[in-house]
Amino acid sequence: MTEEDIIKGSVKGDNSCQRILFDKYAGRMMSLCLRYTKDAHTAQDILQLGFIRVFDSIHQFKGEGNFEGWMRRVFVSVALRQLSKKKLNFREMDGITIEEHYEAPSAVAKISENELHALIRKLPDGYQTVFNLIVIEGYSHEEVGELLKITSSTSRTQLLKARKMLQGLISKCFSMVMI
Amino acid sequence: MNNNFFDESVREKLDGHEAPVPADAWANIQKGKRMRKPWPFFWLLAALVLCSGGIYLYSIGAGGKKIIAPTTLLQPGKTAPANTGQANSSNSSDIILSSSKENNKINNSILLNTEKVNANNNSSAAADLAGVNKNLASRTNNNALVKTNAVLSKKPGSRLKQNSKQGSKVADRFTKIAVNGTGDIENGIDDEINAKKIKLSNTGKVAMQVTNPGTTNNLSPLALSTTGAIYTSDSILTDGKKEEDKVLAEEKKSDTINNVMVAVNTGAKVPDKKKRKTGLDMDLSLSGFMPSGNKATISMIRRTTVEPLHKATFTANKVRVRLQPSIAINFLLFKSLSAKTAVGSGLSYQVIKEYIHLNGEEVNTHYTIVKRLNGNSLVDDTVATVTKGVRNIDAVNSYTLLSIPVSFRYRLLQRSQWTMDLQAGIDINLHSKYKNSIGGELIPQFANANHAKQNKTTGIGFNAGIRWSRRVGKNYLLYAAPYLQLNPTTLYLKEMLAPGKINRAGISFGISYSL
Repeated sequence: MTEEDIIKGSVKGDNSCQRILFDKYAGRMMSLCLRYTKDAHTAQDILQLGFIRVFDSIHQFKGEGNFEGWMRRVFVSVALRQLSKKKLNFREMDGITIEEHYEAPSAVAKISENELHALIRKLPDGYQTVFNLIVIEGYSHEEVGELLKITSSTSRTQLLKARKMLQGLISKCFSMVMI
Repeated sequence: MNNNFFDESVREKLDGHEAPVPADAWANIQKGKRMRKPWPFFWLLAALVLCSGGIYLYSIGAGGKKIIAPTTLLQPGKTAPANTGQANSSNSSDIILSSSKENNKINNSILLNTEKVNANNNSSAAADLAGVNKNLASRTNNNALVKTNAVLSKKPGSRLKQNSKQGSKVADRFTKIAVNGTGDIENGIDDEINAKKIKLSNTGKVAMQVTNPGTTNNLSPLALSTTGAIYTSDSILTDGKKEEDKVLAEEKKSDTINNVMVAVNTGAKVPDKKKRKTGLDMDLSLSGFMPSGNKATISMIRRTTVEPLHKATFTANKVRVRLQPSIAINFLLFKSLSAKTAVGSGLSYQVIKEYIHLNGEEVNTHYTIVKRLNGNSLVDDTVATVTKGVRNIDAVNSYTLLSIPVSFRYRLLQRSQWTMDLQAGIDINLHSKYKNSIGGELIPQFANANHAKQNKTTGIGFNAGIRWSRRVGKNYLLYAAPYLQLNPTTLYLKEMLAPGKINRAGISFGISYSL
């Protein structure tokens, strides 16, 4: 069964097709959800709501472009709505001291996916969200501004700080390795 | 480091990254899909509203033209069922006159539509054809009195036409009919005459002779008795005191109805409109209320979240909980006990919301597996990174309650258009559901040890209010009812951060339909 058949089956409400889609994409979508929240419970909520939304609106997917890309957009939308609904306001963590490190570009390649994932989740919420949207999902600063109701310049600043903090965390991780 | 290169490296690294999916995720999605379907309760309410609207529109549209199906149709040559002479509680039935005429080939179906039947153990039936038969004003009978209103149409085979057939000669007679039973017809006893008009739209002649086994008075046409009576047109009764009768007599020359048979009092019960009232009122209302309660003092709330390679402990020292304005949907059926009192019960669905502000410290511990040099070889090691910060959480949690209200209503005032009632009763909580919009389980610690968290979601509350209602239709009332609801017993809402006696003050707006 091709992905197109599975999507058609899902549009018709076929439970087995929906299950196949879930099995195929749940891990990647869970990774996405975890990147937007530090709380595993909330991530699971977002995952469930995201899949429900995907199954509800899968008929809107016209086959243009990548299905996973469309799905990721749906999940990002659900995640941002869920976060804004909860009105979880964070102050930046004051226990972290970030030193500027200029590691070789290959440093990222040397750490594992899980480690990098965990490091991104250590970023403060604002940094984390902007970094995820721009670097990983590929949104522009203008789009991020619209999504988060902030200006594009704020988005740029947040990204710079997020990038710097993440680089610092990676360096810290490496320095520990070199013990 | 070049930013673009860094970003690209991160993107490539995380592209295709998969995280472990909770085992119950698919089951929850399935459950969530079902939950998204409208709750049957709301379907039920929607159906009730639609039904009420339909009945209302039907009652407006039908007006007084309601046609009641005949209970008996007798063909010429057959005998109408005899009255037993006993009292008939619901009294009488529809009347169908079936007539035929050979010469002029008139085959009329006449439906006499019974509109109202009065029970009268010793009632009389009287027929008055345009005032000719004055004697019929008082008749003794031991059976029913029938009030009828019918139209006779000339169109063959048709029933209850409104004289709309063009070209037909409409006699346009108006008469009244009442039906006797087996008893003799006597003068001198006044009885109620509830007969209505029969409109004869027959170009033929209408004339009948009464065959009454009892004493027959000098009756005019359409004075009918019911003891197996067969009314034939062989002899024409023409008293002719009024113009209509003269016309009838003239019409007789050209047109005669051979047989007219009347069947009455067949025992089939046609309920009176008034008696059809069940005394039930269906109330549907939407309430807005403000909950308040003696909140327990929460000294601290703690939440611990554990997941692979991460542990977070949040301790909120500043806790602010505030109950929010909430809504309820109520559906009740009231049964009238007397003119002033009624008792009712039904279902009530309430949503109570609480606003929560938490402020405290969160300690995040991240565990990272790293490679460490141990001699000449690399070994796995775990490095814990502990970060602390201040976290503020603002959230709204909701709590749904399903309860059975049992109410008593007493009418205080009644005017032509509006009434004022006192309504009071109890609410029995049946079921509750909590929606925690903050992830994780929050464990409050109360300043007062007596406020230890319990899982008590059932209980009884008392409510009382004043209900102003205004009639907006034959069977409809609109009402507004401000009310107070008190919980004498402490109701510990499951998971809710503001346990205690939650009292409510609100107002209901609704519609009531008389069944």
